[in-house]
Amino acid sequence: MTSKKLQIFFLDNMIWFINLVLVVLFVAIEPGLLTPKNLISMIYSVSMLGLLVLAQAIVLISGNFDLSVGAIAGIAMTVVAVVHEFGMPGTPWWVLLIMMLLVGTGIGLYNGFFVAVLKINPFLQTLGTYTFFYGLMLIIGKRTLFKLPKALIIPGGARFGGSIVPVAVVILIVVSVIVHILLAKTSLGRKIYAVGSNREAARACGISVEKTLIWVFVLSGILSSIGGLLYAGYMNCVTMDLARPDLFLTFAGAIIGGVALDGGRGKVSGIFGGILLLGIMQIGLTILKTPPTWRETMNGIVLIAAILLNTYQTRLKGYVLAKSAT
Amino acid sequence: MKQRKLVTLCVIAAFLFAGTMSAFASSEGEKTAKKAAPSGVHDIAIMPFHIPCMWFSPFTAGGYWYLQEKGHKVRTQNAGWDTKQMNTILKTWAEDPNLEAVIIAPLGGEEVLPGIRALKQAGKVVALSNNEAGYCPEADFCVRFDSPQGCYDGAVEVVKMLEKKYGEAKGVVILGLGDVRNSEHLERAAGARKAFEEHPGIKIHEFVSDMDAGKAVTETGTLLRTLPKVDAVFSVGMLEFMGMINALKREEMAFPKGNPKHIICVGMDSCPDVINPAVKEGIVDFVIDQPVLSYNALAAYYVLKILDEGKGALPKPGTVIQPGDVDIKSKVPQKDLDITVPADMWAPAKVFDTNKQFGHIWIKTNYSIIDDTNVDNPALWSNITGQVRDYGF
Amino acid sequence: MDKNPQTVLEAKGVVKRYPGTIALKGVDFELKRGEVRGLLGKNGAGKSTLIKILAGLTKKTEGEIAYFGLKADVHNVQDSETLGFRFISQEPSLMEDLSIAENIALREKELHKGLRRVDWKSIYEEAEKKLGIIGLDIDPKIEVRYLKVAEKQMLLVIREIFSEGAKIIALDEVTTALSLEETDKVYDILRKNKKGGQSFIYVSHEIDEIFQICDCATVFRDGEVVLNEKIENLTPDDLKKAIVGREMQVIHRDVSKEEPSGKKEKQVVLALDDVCNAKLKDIRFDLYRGEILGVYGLRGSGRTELLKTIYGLLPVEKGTVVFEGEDISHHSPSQLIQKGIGFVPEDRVEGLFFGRPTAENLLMTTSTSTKKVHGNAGLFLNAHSERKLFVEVSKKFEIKAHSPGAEIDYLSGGNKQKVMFGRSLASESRVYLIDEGTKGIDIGTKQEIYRIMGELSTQGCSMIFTSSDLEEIITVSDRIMVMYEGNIVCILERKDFSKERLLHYADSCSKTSGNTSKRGSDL
Repeated sequence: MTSKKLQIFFLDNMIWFINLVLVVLFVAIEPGLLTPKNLISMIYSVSMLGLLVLAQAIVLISGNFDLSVGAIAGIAMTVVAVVHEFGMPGTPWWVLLIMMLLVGTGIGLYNGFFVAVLKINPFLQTLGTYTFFYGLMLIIGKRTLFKLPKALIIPGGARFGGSIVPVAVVILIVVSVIVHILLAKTSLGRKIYAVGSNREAARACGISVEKTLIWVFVLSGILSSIGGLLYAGYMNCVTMDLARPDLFLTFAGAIIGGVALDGGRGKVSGIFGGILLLGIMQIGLTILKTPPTWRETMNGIVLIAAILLNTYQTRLKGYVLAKSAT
Repeated sequence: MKQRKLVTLCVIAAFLFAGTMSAFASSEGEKTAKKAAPSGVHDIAIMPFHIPCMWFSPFTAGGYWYLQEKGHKVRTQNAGWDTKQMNTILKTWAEDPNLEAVIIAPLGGEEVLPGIRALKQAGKVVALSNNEAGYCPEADFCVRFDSPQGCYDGAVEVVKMLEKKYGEAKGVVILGLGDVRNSEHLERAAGARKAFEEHPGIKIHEFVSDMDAGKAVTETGTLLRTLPKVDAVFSVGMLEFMGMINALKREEMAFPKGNPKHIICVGMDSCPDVINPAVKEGIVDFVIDQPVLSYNALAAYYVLKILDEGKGALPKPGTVIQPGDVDIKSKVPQKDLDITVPADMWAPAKVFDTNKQFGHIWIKTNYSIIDDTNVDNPALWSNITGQVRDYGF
Repeated sequence: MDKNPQTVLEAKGVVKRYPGTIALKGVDFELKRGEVRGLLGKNGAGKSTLIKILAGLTKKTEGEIAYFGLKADVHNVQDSETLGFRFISQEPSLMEDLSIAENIALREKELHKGLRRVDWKSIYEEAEKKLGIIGLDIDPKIEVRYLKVAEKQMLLVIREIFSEGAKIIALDEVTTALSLEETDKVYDILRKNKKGGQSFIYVSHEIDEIFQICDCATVFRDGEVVLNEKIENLTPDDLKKAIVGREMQVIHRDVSKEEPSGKKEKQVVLALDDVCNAKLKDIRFDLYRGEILGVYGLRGSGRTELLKTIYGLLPVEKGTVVFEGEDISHHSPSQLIQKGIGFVPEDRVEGLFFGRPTAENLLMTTSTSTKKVHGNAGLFLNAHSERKLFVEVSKKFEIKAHSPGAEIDYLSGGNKQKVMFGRSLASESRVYLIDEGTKGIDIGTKQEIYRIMGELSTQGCSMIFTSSDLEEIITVSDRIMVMYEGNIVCILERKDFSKERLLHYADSCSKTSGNTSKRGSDL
C-alpha cells in the first residue's frame, strides 16, 4: 500500500526527480563549480522566463494558446521606459509599475475578449497580438532603452542586501505560490481547469466559459507584464525583442512541467519543475563548457526525453492504479 | 504488450539522458587532463555572436586561434541573438574560479552590463571587442573600428561617383539597413544617411532587412522594379549586402563597372561568398571591410598583457599601434590548411581616451577598402575563412 | 475462395466484454449470399457492437468469425474492407471539403497505389454515373459540405454499395434522414444488388421497414440473439415482443410508488407553459414534488433538448418555466444550480472533466456556483468542507475512487456515472434533470442508481428522467411523458404503463399520422 503511494508520488512529481538526477549528474561531472551562487542562478537565470511560463501555463490549462506572452512583456516595459525617458520624466516608479500592469491587463483583456466572445481561434488571435505589439514596440521605443528608474531594476537585477539571493527568484516563488493558490484553491482556478478539460461539461456545470477565458487571458497578461519587469531588470535595459527568443521555451517549460497542450492538466509544482529544468540546462551546459555548436542539440535531447517521460506518466499511473486495484 | 512498450520508452529516455551526460563527461575528461598545465597558462573565455553565422564565427575565431596557439585555455558559448542568455552565460562564467578574463563580442556593451558587472565583481578582466554603443565603465578596454565613420566615408565616395556621373550630386540611392532593433546598426545607418543628406539632390529609399539576406533580396528587388531609375545601392551590413547583390542579379540589373547601365553598389563587410565574387566581376564598386579576424586577437593580446603585467600594460591614449608592435599572428588550426592569419589588416590602430563617453579606452583599428584590385589578396579575412570548414569550437 | 457459396459470413460464439459490462454474450450469426438481413433490438442490445466487430472498428473478446468460409481475424477497417465488408453508418462520414467525385473516388483502390497521375476525367464520369443511379442531378465537382443531410446519406450509400469488391454491406439506420422517395430508391438498389450476389445487414428501429425490404430478421436483446427467422414466418407483433422481451426483468425501485402521489395535494415544483424554441414546440407540463417523470422518445425526439432548455443551456424563446413560483425562463445554469436544479448530462464524455481529480469532478458545480464549499472570503475554496462533502456524497453513492485526488480517468464507467449524478446531489438540488442516467453501465450499478433515485424522491426531490430503455423507464417513473419531434405526444399515468403502448406512442406517431407525413415533414 505504501509502495503504491510512493510510486504515485514519484509519477506525479517526475519532473522533480528528473531535475534532481540532472543536478546530481552535473555535480558528479564538475563538482568544483557547483557553488551556491551557481545553484541559485539555475533559478535566477530563468526567473523572468518562469513568469512567462506561468502565464502560458494558465492559458494552456484553459485549453488555449498564448503566443503573445513575450510581446506583452515587451510592450509593457517599452511603455514604462519610454514614459520614463521621454514622455513624463520624473513619474514615480510606482505609477510606472501600475502603468505596466495596466498595459498587461489591457492586452490580456483584448486577447480574452476576442478569443472568448468573438470566438477567434486563440492561436491566430495571439499571433496577431504578438506581431502587432513587437512592431508597436519598435515604433514607440525605436532602439534598446537603457534608462529605467532604479526601483524598477531591483526586481530583476538586484540581490537581497549582501546575500546571494536574487530578488527575482523570490518574486518567481511568490508569484508561483499565488498562482498555485489561484489554480488549486479558488473557484476561478476550478473553472479554468474545468473549461480546459471539457468546455461542454463546464457549461453543463453552470460555468460561464466566456468569463473564465477572459480571466485567463487577463491573468496571462498581468503575469507576462511582471515577467517583462524581470527581463528588463536582468538585462538592465529594454531590448526591442525582449523575450522574443523565449516564446517556444514558454511552451516547453509548461509542457515539461506536465501541462497538457489540450488543456485541463497541469499543476504549479510541476510547472515550477519545468522552469527549473530549463534553468538547469542553461547553467549546466555553460558550466560543463559544452561545445557551443552542440548546445542547442543537447537542450533538445533533454527536452525530448523529459517530454517523453512526462507524457507517459499518465499511462504509467493508470497501470499502477490498476495493479493495486486487483 | 503495452507494458513492454512503456518500458522501452523509459529505456530510450534513460539512454538519451545517459548519452548526453557521457558526452559531457568525455569532453570534460579531456579538459581536466589539461588542467595540470604549467603556470602562466591563462583561462580565457570569448562570448561570441551567434555561432553558426558566416561573419560572426571568424570574429570569434581570431581570438580563439590566437589564444590556443599561445597555449592558453580558451572557451566559448553560443547565446544566439538572445541578450538575456548572453547575460546568463556571463554570470555563470563569473562563478568559475579558474576563469581569468572574458572577451565580449555581442553588439552593445550596455545590453550585457549585468553580466559584465558580475564578471568585474568576480575580478575578471573584461575586454569588449566590437562596435559597442554605450557606456560601460566595467570593461577594461575595447577594440573596434569606427563603424559610423566607415559608413559615412563609404557614402561620401558614392556621392563622389554620382557627381562624376552627372556633374552634380544627384540621383536615387537604395539604402539597405540591418536590424532596426540594434543600436550599432542604427548608428551605421545614421552615418550613411548623413553623408547622403548633405546633398539635397540625392533621394534615399530605405529598407529594413532584419539581418535576413532573403528579406533583403525581396525588398531590394521590389525597389529596383518600382523605382524608375536607381543610381546606387548602399548597404550597412553583410547580410543586407548579399541580398542586394542577389537582387541586382535576379532583376538583371547587375552590370560591371564601365557599363553605362552599371548601378553603383557599395556596402559594408566582405564575404567569401556572393560579395567577393561580385567584387571580382565589377558589379560591386568597393567594400568597406573590417579586420574581422584581428579584433579578438588584438583584444586577446592585451588581455594577456593585463593578466601578466597588470592594467598598466595597456597602451596610453594617443599611442599608435603598428603591426611590428604586437605579435598577433596565428595559424589556422585546420590540418590540411597552411594559412597564417596576418597581423596587419587592422593597422595602424590608434588608442583614444573615451573614458567620458564609454568608461574605458578605445583601441580604434583601421578598416580597408576592397575593390577588384585587391579582392584576391590572400590576407583578407574573407579569403582565409572561405577555406575553413571547422573553426574548432 | 468461396468454399460454400451460400454462406458469406459466419460468426460463432462471439463475446464482447467491456470493462464492467458484457455487450455480446456468445452470439451466433450467419449471412447468406444475396440475403437482406434485418437487425433489430433496443439501444445497447448488442447489434451495433456486432457490426462494429465485423467491420473491424472494435475487437471481439472471444469467438470465431469466418468470411466466405475462411476464418479471419479482422484487426482494423482495412482488413474487413479487403474481405468485402462495407459499413454505412447513420452519421455520414464524408470528407466535407472534398468534392462529391473525390469522395466517391476515395474508395477506388487504384488511387491508393503510391504516386499516380489522377485521371480526373474518369473520376468525374464515374461519379456522374453513380449519381445517376439515384437520380441525383448535382455537379460532382461540388464540395460535399454543400449537400443536404439526406443527399450525403444517399451519397454514402451508393459509394459503399457500388465500391469495388463490396460483397457484404451493413447499413445502420440509413433511412432515418431520408424522404420516402429516397428510401424507395435505396430499397430498389438493395433489391437489385442482392440479385447480383451482394448481401446486406440492415439495422433499423422501424418494424415496417424490416417487412418491406428484409428476407430474414434477427433480434438482439441484452447481448443475445433472441429471434432469428425468415420474414414470411413473422408478424410485427412477434418482432415487437422479441425486442421488448417476454418477461420483465426484476428491477425494482425500493420505494412504494403510492406514497408521493397518494398525498392529498400534489405540490407543483416546476411548471412549463407553452415553452418553444428551435427544438421544442409548445411544451406544457407540471412536475410535482417527489415525482419521477420519465421522458420517453426516439433519437431526435427533443428529450435532451427539453432538459437543456429547462437548465438554461438552450434559450426559451416563448413561454415560461416556473420553479417554485419563480419565473426562471431566462436564468443561467449557474443561477439555477444555486436555486436547486441539477443536470446529469447524457454522455460521460460530455459531462466529465478528464484529467481532473475525482473530487473536483464531483464537486464542480458546488465549488463554482454555490457558496457551500467556500470560506469566508467567498473566493477561496474550503478544503475541509470539500473533503467532508466528498466523503458524504461518495459514501451515499458508493463511489469507488482510488482517492479523492486520483484522476477521474481511472474510474470505471459505472463510478464515472455516479460521479456525474453525485454532482447534482452535492449542490443540494431539489429538481434533477437526468439525461440517460444509466447508459452503458452494468445492471448492478443501475440498481444502485435506482435506489438513490428512490431515496431522493422520498426526501421530496423531483426528477425528470429520460431513457431509451423501456423497462427501465416503466420501472422507475411515476408518470411517463412521450415525446416526438419536439412535441409532447402524451403523458401516461402509472396505471396506463405498458411497453407496447409506449413503443406505439413513441414511433407510432409516425404510423398513425401516416408514413408520408413523417417523411414529408422531414425537410
